[in-house]
Amino acid sequence: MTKNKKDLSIRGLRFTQAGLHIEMDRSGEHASISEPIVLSQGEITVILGANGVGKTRLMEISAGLREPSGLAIQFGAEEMWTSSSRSGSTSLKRNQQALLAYSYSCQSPEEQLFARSVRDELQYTLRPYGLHETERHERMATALAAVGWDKAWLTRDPYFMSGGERRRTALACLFAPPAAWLLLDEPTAGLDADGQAQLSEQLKRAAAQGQGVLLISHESDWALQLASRILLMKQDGSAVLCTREALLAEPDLLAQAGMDVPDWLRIAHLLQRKYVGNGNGDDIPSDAFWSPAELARALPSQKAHTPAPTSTSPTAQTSPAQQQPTSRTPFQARATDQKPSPLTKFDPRSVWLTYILLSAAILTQSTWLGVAIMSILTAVCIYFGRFPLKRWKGAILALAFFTLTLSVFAGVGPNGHGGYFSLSSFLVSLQSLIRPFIAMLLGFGLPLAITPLRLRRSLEQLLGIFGKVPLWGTKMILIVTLLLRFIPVLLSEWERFGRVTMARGKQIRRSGRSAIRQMRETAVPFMLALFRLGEQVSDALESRGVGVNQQPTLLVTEKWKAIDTLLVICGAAILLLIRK
Amino acid sequence: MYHVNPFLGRGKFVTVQDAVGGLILSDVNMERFLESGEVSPRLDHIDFSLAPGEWVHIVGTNGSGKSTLARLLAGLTIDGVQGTWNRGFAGNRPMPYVMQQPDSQLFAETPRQEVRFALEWQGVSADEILHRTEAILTRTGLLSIGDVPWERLSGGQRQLAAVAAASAASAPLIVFDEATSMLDEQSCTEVLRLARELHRQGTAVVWVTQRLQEIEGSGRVVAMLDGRIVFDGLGSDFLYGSEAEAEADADADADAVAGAVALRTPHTLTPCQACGLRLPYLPALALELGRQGKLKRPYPETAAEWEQVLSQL
Repeated sequence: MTKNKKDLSIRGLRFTQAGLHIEMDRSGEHASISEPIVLSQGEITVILGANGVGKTRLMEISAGLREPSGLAIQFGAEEMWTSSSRSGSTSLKRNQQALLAYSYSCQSPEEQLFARSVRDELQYTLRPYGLHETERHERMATALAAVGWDKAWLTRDPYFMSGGERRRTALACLFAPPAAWLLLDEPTAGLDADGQAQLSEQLKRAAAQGQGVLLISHESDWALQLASRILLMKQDGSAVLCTREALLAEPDLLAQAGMDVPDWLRIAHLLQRKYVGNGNGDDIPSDAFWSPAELARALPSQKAHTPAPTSTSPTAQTSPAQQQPTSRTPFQARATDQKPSPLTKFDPRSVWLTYILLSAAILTQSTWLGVAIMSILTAVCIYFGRFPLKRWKGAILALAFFTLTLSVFAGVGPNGHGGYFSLSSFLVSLQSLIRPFIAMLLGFGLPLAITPLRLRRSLEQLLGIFGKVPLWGTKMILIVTLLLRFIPVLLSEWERFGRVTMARGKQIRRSGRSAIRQMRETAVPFMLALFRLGEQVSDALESRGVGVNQQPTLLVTEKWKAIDTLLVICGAAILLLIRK
Repeated sequence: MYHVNPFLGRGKFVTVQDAVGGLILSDVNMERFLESGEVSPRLDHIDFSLAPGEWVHIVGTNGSGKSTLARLLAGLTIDGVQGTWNRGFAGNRPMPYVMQQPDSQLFAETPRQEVRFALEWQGVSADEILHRTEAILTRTGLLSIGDVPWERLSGGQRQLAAVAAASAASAPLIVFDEATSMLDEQSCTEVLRLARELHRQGTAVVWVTQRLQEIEGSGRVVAMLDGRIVFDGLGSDFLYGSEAEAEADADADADAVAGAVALRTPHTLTPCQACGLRLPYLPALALELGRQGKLKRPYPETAAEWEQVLSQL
């Protein structure tokens, strides 16, 4: 199927004593020196790990859908990212040959569908491969067969299909392209028994025909029955590459990775210890342990006629099996990128008031010394308040550029000394523009202290001064809070479908036409996702009693404390002292 | 006694008022319109009852109608439902409902604020809100992460916060709609533990799932297929079929052996297989051992019971 071998190598995952060490957050420096993990074609590699450990992230990085974060991905000889140094600055670019090396099925892949027929969906997935028409038709037929369908399904509209049928359409799209690798993220969630059996058959066949398979699944019994190798990700950022037999022999590997050992694996482990390598010559072949049917055939009968214990009460807590070897780390908070800002300790009102005072101080400066002092003060606030300026990097740079250009334009013109640039007019405009710029930088601290919910509380307390919040006030506040709450969710959904479009469309160049096309490919699933989100949110709100009860209880949680007074006094003092 | 329920949208739904008994649905239908113009039932003549404080598992594949039934039981607004119901002990207010995706059911920024938000809409007084919030956070084990914002919590922790907020209402019923399907083993255990805790305190629990490992043999299981309830009975019967059927199968097997037929006769499908669900590893092992006469009923369920069985092999 594939002409040259394209093993997937991930460099930057480093070996430690425990196994491999993943350094996903380092800058690219180490990527070149560390030994790569090489996942071979013809094998099925299953990624295991606790919730939030970064399985999906690793897969997305492998697919070039996220910034490489210090990892170097290679499909065969094709590097995923190539650096092109144009106009001085080096920028990383995706390599289309590497993108073509895989076919990707994201979580809930049916949500990515946007076309009005199965044929269009398949054509879209195949387009980047530039196949001849006959080959394209062949591949479409095989893809349909892979999910148990025939050509009659080509004209069906996914929009009107049931959830299960949409999932099949998405899986057909996974199998359609002539890609060296299949990447699957939780493919069994919501798939019925037949669908799961069919999928395992297809994956086994794909591996036997030389394709590589990388698979994330929390249905461990289903996934391990397929696995040739296991990549076990741990919460400290390291990872272990092992065989499933190693896992069967030592299930505690999972516990060490912060996961619970599933009951079935523990029992299979006990059986293996009892019946393999005990010298009785009645060894059960090791492959039998992954299939209950085969294992049952190999096991002997229950000797005693004593029925299995009937202690079905869930309160029987003292059994030895439930006292798990607890070397696993209990629920861990996700590795944090940033510590919370000290601003969150203040009352939002005091932060707001101080901001007004400080902006007044900034805006009323008329000397360069004053501007300099206020800039330094702002820098100090940004540093100690841990303002996340990175998030608004683009906007800040654009505004800085705008400020500078405008000032330069203001300076152009006869300067009275025969030249055509007036330094003094330039400086005057720069000063008048730089003051609001600094005030804006300082303003980026506000959302840290005034989160949507705190804003809501402050508004409620303001509107509720005379007892109850009026009904229109309640409605408005709820709407504002929900909007603010879900903006990040909408952004991440948009980014998610953007990544899916990249994974399927494999477009790396941005031309006007392809941008419009990509817009549609991303926008349709995004809008559908919005409707679903809207339905779920309204269900959740209704179940919380919103809408049934007209008025929520007015909860006063914001209390003005001494530090709040101190903060405002500082602000006022700065305004008075530096004012000239 | 009969009146049309105002918050159920366009359906012709008749409510029978009786505030003490069980929650009863009788002959409930809901239709779905297909591309071809055909009408296919989403809920097809559903008869269902739930006693106060009962725990029921609802299982089925995607599109079997289990989620629609769950939302109906939770008392959420659904358009186009027809039939008769008596909400009984659950009353006429919407009940707490926990969904698969934590993100669409969290409205605040931290677990503590989320629980407070939930209590505010339950008509609880301000003083009591603060007090009860702490109690709920302690009970659910979220106290240590009470003020950590969502983006720094894992999916499992966010789902626990959603359960905590839903349980804040101390309602007589709580509905979990595939609340564990996106979680790993450890988070599943935690969410299930919270649900059991609520059940012990007398809350009726509707637990919709595709994870059959969560079924208890002695518990009640309702299985759905194509909008119909195709099984309503004991968990062990659902997973393995009833004992009578199993014996009939065993006899057939014996006949087959006697007739020196190498191929085993096809077994009757267990209810679990009949509605298209994959039997998990351990129940599958038990079923196979049982069919080969190597294991007697009742089959082991917990890891401890399995260990005991293994020692007898």
